[in-house]
Amino acid sequence: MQVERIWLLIARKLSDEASMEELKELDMLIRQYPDSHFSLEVFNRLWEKDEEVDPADLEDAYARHLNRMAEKGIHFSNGSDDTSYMIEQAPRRTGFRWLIAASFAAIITVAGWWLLREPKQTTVLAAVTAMNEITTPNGSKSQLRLPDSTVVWLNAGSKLTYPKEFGKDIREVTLVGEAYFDVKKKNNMPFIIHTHRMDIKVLGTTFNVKSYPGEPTTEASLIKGSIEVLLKDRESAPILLKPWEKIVVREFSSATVSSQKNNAAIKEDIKEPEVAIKPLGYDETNDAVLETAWVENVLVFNEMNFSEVTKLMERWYGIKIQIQNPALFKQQLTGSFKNETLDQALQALQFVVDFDYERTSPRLIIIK
Amino acid sequence: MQIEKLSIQELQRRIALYDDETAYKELFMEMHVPLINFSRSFVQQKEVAEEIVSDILMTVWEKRKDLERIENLRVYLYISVRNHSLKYLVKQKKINSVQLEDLDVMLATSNLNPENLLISKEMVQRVRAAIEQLPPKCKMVFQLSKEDGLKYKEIASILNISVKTIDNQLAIALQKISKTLKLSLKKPDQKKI
Repeated sequence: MQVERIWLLIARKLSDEASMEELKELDMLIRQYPDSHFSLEVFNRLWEKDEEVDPADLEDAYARHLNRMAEKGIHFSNGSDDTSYMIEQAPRRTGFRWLIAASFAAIITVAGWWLLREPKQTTVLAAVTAMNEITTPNGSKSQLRLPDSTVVWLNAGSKLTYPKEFGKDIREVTLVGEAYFDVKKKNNMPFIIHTHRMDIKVLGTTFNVKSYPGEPTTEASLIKGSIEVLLKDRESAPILLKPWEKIVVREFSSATVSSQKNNAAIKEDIKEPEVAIKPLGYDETNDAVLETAWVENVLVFNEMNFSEVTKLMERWYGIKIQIQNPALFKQQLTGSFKNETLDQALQALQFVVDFDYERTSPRLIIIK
Repeated sequence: MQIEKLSIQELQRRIALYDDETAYKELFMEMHVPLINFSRSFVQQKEVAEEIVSDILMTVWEKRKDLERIENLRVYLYISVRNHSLKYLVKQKKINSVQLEDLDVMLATSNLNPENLLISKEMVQRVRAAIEQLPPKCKMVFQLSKEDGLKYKEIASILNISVKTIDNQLAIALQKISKTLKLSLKKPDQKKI
């Protein structure tokens, strides 16, 4: 009976159909039947995906498919009209395009505001500012490809918005949270990312942007190519980043305001500069760049406070963590998690920091 | 936590709303091989399968304005392939119905190499043979779950069988395969206690 139950549970686990209780049950059964651990391991590996399809074969099949469509008279432009037009644009017009983009955005905003006051016109409004919005909840990530073939990995608890007309005249997205961009180069058409504290303009590069609401810093980390960072709320020339550099911008306006009110005490708190250019971090154990390790499914923390680490874990695992013992807050931690389950991760932390935890519900951890 | 591929749903939306040809190509790239394998289990010949899949994907583009009404496009495509393939069989063989048990399931078992599985070459051969020898229904469930990554519910509507059957069939498949690995499950002796 139990043996059959193990196979049923292993099958469910592999197909991602097992509930949390069933996973726990399987864990217990495997402890009773240690042999099953090896078969689970073999099946786990058998279940892993590896792409064996030859992309050239697929391209051929696609070409045959398009031919058949053409024979049947189904219209499909296959990139023959609008894209080639883009490439023929003269390079000098880039600056002008920016201006057009900016004024166009202004028109949309004004039109949007005006139309909003006219309830009858709301359908028009929707047509003008139609946006695509991709969100990832805590505990999950997603990868998406924009119409221009730029690939974006969206980290947990993040949101990416882009106009439905994306890529026709301008390439602009708005990011809340964290994302890793692999931007396809497109002649004369820069790619712009708007965040709360900075705008980033690029041509074709790979980089990471982190801008979570409620966090004191916004970061952009460059892997290759070059990016131009324009800080909001302050007058400065665009900052150019080189590969393996990152820019860190600290929340400054609120701090400045409050420091004027009750002067000295708070001023001392501001140790970090408002804007800093730093080298990217490197994690030897995982052979990974700290800033982008999350793309490879590694959660890395380097000399972080315990409370910051738990905040990361909340997003990573999609849970809430309450720390009841304030003495724990400032404990410094360095480490990484890869395939650890939440319990394994917490147990690993217990090796370094002295605490007890209790899982009061599937989504709430109390740390004492 | 796993990074999801650009979801079918997202592609579906972009094709329906913006006539997005890049998204359509992506959909083709994603679905072509699994759908062809699925169709071949019914019709056997690759050319026939390719034509059936091409026809179905063509309709997706032609009727893209209605695409948003489809709740699960992936499942919809599999079901269309199943229906078209059966129609073809009925026409060819002048038969009235096809049972799941009659299918000759095409397997695309990737990942069967010793290094990946941490087992010897002979063992891999045995695993391969064991998979090949699974009964058709079992093999089909195994293929759709492992290779195509479909959920139990989705497989259930594609094959028109119950979720419970899938649950059992997959467990049977694993048990049979592991037998060839000589991985019988025994409780350890408990002498010391």
